[in-house]
Amino acid sequence: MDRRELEELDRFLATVGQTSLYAYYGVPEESDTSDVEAVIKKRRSWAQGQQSNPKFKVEALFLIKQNALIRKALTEEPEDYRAHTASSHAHRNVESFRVYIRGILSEGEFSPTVEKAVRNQGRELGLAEALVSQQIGEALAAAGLSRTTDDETTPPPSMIDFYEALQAEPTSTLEQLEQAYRVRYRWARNLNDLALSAEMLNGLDQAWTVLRDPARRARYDAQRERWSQSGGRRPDGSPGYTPGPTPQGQTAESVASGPFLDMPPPSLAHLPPMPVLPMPVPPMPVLPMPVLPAPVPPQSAAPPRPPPPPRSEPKPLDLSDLEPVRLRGPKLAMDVADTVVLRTGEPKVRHRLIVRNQGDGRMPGRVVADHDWLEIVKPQLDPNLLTQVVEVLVHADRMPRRTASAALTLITEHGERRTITFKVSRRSAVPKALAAGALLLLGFAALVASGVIHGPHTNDAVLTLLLDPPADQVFVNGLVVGNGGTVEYRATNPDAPIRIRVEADGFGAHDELVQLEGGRSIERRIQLELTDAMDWTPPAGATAVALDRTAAKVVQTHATALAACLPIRGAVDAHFKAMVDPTGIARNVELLEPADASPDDRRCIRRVFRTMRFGAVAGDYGEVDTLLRLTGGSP
Amino acid sequence: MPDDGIILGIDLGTTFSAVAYVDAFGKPVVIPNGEGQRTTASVIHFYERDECVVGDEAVKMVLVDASNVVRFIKRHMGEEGHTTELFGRRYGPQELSSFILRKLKDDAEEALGHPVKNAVITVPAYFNSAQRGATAEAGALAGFSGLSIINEPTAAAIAYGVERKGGDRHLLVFDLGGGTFDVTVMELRGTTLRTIATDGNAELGGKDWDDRLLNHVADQFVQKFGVDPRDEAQTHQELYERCLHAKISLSTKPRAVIPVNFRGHRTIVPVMREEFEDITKDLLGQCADTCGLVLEKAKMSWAEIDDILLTGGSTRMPAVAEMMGRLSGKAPVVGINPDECVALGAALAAVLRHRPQHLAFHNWRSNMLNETNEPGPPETSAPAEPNPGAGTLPGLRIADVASHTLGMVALDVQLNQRVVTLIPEFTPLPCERRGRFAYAYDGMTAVRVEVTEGVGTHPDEVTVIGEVILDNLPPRPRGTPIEVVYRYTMNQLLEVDVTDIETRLSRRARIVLKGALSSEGFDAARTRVAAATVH
Repeated sequence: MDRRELEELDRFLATVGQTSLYAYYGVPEESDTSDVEAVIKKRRSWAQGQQSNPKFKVEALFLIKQNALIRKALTEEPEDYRAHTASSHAHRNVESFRVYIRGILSEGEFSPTVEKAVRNQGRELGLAEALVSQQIGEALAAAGLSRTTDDETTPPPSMIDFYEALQAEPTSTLEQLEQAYRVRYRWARNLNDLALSAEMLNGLDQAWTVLRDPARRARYDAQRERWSQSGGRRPDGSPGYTPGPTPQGQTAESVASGPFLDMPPPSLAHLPPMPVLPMPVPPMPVLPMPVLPAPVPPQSAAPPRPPPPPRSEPKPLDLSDLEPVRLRGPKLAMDVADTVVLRTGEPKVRHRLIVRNQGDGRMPGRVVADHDWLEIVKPQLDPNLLTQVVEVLVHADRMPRRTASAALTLITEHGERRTITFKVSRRSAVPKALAAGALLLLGFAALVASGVIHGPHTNDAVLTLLLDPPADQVFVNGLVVGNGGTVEYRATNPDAPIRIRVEADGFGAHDELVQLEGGRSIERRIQLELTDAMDWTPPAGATAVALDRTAAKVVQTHATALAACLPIRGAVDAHFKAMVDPTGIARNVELLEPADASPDDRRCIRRVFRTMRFGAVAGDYGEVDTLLRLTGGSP
Repeated sequence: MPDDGIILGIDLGTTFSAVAYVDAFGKPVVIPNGEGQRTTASVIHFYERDECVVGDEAVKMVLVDASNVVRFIKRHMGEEGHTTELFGRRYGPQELSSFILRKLKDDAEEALGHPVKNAVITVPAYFNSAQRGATAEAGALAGFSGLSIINEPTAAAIAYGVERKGGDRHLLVFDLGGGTFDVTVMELRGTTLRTIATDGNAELGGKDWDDRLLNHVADQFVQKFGVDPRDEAQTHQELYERCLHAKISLSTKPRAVIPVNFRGHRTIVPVMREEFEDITKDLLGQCADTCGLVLEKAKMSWAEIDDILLTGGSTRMPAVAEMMGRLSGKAPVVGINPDECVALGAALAAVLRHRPQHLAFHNWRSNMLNETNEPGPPETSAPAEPNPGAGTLPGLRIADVASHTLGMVALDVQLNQRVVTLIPEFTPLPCERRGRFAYAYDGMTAVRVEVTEGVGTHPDEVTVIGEVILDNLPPRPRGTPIEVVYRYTMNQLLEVDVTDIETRLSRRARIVLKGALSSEGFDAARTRVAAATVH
């Protein structure tokens, strides 16, 4: 399989939030080809039915168009694909391991017992012995520590010189380094040996990641300085610039650039599959997060109710103790990382997630899990609560394997969706001494997991769009990414500018080119313009139809938005008159009471009316005439 | 369908549409449009509010006035809330499709010299009920009072005349059009034509081949001159048209040339057929892949397929026939223009269904009696007694099948929502399925059944097409049984009964399709379409 094909698959996996095709299809890597074939077929026939479903259209079309490629990756050339996922796993694991050691060293001591535990951890992460030693050496050097006892058992580690890797001088400017990186990158990309090429690219990426960041570069330079001052020997007595293993049968040029490989190439393909990040954590059913007093009523005392929760009419919210702010609709927020890693000795673990509604208005929604060992205690969100606890029972004893992952998804009716991945392993307890490292690792694992496909560093950019009025559709580069008052878009490749387009019925579309920056969150407020002035005079001889109570109800459901338009203190009786054209769109809106409303207030009222959907009108046009008591501000 | 006048067979395609009727001699004939072409591009250009032009003229406007041109509207049929705004007016996909149908209808009326009220419109086999409903509505908006909908592969099979061969045969209809691709396996058992399995790709078609060729040519130009003709919309479009014509030439000739002029540079890029086939090999691979899947769904092998029918203009590419020959070991059936065969089949099907006295029917019937081993239908049943039920004929029966899986949302033991299948796809119609369920909570006084369409286990994966609420019950304990009955009738109507078994209280609903206009909306749209000018 070539690089383009693997990238294609990775891009797809990023859109569905999975780390590998095996995880996507929910099959273990070691499954029989026939089993894998069966799940691919099953999913493919699912895709056939989802082509017209806007929610799954992109996913379904990929499965249909790239069926051959997926089969190639999983059944025809699985070795290639596994090597690819293993190398990206390995990359992540090295990073995790680094953080882990840093955590251990923060204790300020590195005794043989601790070192043994660290080496065990390295083994569990599937890292090669030499690599583990190298990482330990580097971490020790960085922390300015040495081992408390002799280190003769440690094999001499290999060393990376990032400048050598880029074939640049340590005195180079950032521009020169970037130039050098690009030159080397193009050279590595064009190597005939694809496996070697991938490794070279990994190494270059690593070097560039460190050197592009002035702070990290300074740290690295200092470390490098220490080594050269100790006469080319590192504090632990090993030689400084030991070349890494030289790949067989390469050209002189590639041999010369060999040393920067941070992983011995032969071990790459033989790394054991690592679907989860195991870590020594005491049996731990909780995550570092505040657990608020649960507003969820106890399950046993829940009053009997029919499964279709009666769809009550949305009542106008009482605004008396709220700031009079412009309404944005509900917004889902969660106090938890995208990945929850649990290691437990218990058969059943209770886990709590805090779900908040940061916006305004009711937030009905539901919680679903894709595996039955992840039991959701109450699958519906309480629409009226601003903060609530979603409780999850993790049945570790019902997991198919010792380690497994499952996805928990919150779906709100206003269109937001958040997926939390649970990575659970059944374990016995481990020494408490390592907890510090583990906690750091935990935080890091969550960070890495959100950007898993894109190498060891998280570089995602998040764009939050606050839309007035709530949009019917928001496109990024032509693909629908969401709707509603708040839309969040996570760009995994933030270098290229993205084209956003916001569409709402009755409002002019908004197009914009946005440049994101890796690792940054941007918030953007967009106010759509009305497509017309909403001035409309019915044609001569047209007949008006008085719209009945349903129309008044439509207006009533927008009471909060209407109240937000007016600078109300206390309660005010508002009198609206509107004309509705035959397709159910408000055309002409008058505010008779309060008469002292400013032109701005009236404009705001018109916008709110334009977002209302009246049913189709039987006559030429309809008339709405309604009185509404609005409350807002403090009396 | 009123028993007067002729019935048009209309192939309403994603990129091209065609219209046909059965003439007085019982022969299906394509009716050319006002410009004399046998197919009409399904492209609409609005040059003023409510004034539009359909066909080639509209295609040309893509260059000049792209924002007022509507293409590929078939892909949006039945999509709820999809609107296109043109000159300050919002049009749904039904209305836009009805403009195309009106153009076809007007041109046909002019050619025939009298008004036409009836039509049979074809839809892909994978269309769901909302999409079918939207198509029917487009027909009604265009002014057809008698309408029926049949599947494209069924029409193609009828056009190819397979029904004359008799005996048990299995057909594979390979339809590669301008923008869509689907494969259907059908069975002709005795005198019944039945769909067994279908699969496809809603976004694969001749356009993908054109794009490949265009990129191939443009890349060569970039290599030579360092400027990219794709950078400028107008050159891009011109080049696209040249590539389209080159592709058509390559179907009959081994070599074609594509002249490219851009920013003062000019060159002529020659393309050999082998080269073209090489750069589009993977697209064909996708088609082969889908064929394999359909056969697997139908639980059949290539050896069991008796006839292969190719429809859709893109099957003119020799590579398609070659690939099908290689896969199946038999030559595809030839003889009918693949662009027209769906429309011809629709016209024929219309006569077979609704005009049992027509000459075509007699021709067909005598052939059938001569050539099949089946005992013919009793003499008394036809033609004096036309069978009014859609799809039933004294001789040939087009067995209607449920085009999509139908089910409902229920709670499982953990009270999570699950979709339960009641009628699987391709169940022959009419059919009736029952399911037993129980109340999930104590003290329930109402229950809601959400009717779903589509394959899937999670409510997100399927479309809810309607609901039945059984309420005003006395409080029921948990576990009290309820029965749900789905009755799918021949005219594609679903009746749902929900019954509380103990009290015998029940509710019935006929499913109202989503995406269809409400009756007031329909009348408004009807007036608008009738008032609009379509050229």
